[in-house]
Amino acid sequence: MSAQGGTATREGILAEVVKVLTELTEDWDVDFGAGLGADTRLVSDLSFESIDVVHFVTALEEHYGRRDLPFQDILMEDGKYVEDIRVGDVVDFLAKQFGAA
Amino acid sequence: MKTILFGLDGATYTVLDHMVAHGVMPNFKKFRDESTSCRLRSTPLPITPQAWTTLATGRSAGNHGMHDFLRYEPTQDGVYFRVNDYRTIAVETIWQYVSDRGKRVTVLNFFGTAPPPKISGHVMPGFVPPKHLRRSSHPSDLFAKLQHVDGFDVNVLGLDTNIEKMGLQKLDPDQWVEWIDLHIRREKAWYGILDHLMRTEPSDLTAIVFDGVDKIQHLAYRYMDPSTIPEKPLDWEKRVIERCKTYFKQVDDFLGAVVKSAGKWARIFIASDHGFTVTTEIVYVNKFLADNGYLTWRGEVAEDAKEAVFVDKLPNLVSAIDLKKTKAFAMTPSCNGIYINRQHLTPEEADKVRDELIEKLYKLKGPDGGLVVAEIKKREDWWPGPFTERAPDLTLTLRDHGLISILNGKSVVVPREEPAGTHHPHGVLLGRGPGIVEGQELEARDIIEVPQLLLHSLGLEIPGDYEGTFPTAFYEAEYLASDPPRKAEAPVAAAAASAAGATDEANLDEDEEAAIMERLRGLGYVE
Repeated sequence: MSAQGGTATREGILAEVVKVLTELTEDWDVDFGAGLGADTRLVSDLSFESIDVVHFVTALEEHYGRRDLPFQDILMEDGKYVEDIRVGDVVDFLAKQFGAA
Repeated sequence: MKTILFGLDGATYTVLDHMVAHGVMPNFKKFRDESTSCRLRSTPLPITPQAWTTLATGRSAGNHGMHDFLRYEPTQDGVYFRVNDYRTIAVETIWQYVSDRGKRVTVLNFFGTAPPPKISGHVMPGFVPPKHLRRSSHPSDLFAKLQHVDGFDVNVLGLDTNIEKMGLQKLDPDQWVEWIDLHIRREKAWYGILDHLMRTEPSDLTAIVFDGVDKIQHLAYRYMDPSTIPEKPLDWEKRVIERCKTYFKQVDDFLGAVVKSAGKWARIFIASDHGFTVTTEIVYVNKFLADNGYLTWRGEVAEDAKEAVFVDKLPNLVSAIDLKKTKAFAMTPSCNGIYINRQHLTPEEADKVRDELIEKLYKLKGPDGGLVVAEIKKREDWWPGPFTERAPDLTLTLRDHGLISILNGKSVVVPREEPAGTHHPHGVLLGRGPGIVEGQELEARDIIEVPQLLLHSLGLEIPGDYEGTFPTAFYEAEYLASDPPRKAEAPVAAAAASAAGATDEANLDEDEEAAIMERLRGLGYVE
């Protein structure tokens, strides 16, 4: 667990999110092409289904030891669930939560 | 003493006795003849998350917090769903409690055991998709150890919700056998793991759930309940009936093998989380709410044509309801309940809506003129505790015990073309082993008491905050006098349990085991 308490950087959070995502998708039969990065989209690039998003959120919560992160802020828009989400969006969200530089 | 919990999700004596009568389950018959058995009273809402968690904690859902598969949180302009998991459980589980006392625990295919607790032993959770099962298992090398086990296949072990949903709606006749066979293969894969671990890394407490019982009964109950089996089944129905028997025969084989593997000096408990019965109609609760002015759809919403109780994607339902113009809604069929939209109502308005709904629901009639709602449970009455608000404001018990549909329907109450299976509050509970009375049938006991049986069997103290009472009638009085259940006076804090220290506890366990063996010897159970 890291990247909390206002000492994190966006780059550091990106590295951690990519690490969590890599571990999450380790067994998946999906070709990631150029590899995972901020522009990777969960649904269109990684074939995420809604249950995969749930497990991704759980993995991040476990990684950071936090269950109070308001993921609904990035998973919902105007009362509706978003169709897709970029890794970079997740990083921006976490950076905001952690007060990252 | 070594203890095994052989879980049969949704098992009912109605079906088990039918299978016994047809020679399908000789091992279960023998087990019952040698055991104390009774009906098991499930939790007030007899569904998997709530009931198995109560069995695993000795606490009611108002205290453990696991009410349903999902829980919803209102947001500024919508509804956010959280999937309940192990972290939802707010009290200590028996898996952790037993592990913290220096004993090894194996937990297989239970809902709500992911992310897995870091116990001494093994955890492979149920209801987890194949893509996530390895990461959701404990210890981290468990999968590697199991790769060569006969039948091990993550794609079979894992749960594909899209496939499972098929059993909860009308299915083409040519799909039934294939769907049942999937569950036969899945149970075989889970049993392979159980058998391997029992032989190579045996635990003090081994617990497994075979959940195909529930899933097959949802679809094919009418072919297993003697009161609904067709007198002259069609050819495809004959094949379905045979495959159901094949499924239960396999479960029976597993039971026979577990009994043999466990040996004479182990206790085995068979428990379900709830029972099953037949449902003959569908109640479209959101249609009822809309017709009565409590719910507003966004535009035209298609009417269900598949006798389904759920939506393909829950967010689609949320999008279909105009929450700002809605006073009450049903979000999941499994919770069988109605939430008052308190975010848009004053407390007084919410109470008024609830009272009105109770009155109107009790008057709801089906096409036959009969009253449809048998009972309405208010959450504060039935789920007291810190998590009362995770329950819907009102929980309905329908006259046929059916799950509500959250879809729009052509009418509020629609007879099913053919009966299906649904949960019934009475399941099964049996116990067999040293000290347990043989061939005895008792009055119904509560599911919340089962963990007390397990902990006592393991020689452990029962935490003081466990609800219910120890079912003493399971045991011979003479035996129980020598090995009485020990229940703590005060609640046992999880932190204190963890701080107890495994090494000292392990030594204590050896002493305890020696004392128990001495008692058994004195009573003639052990030579």
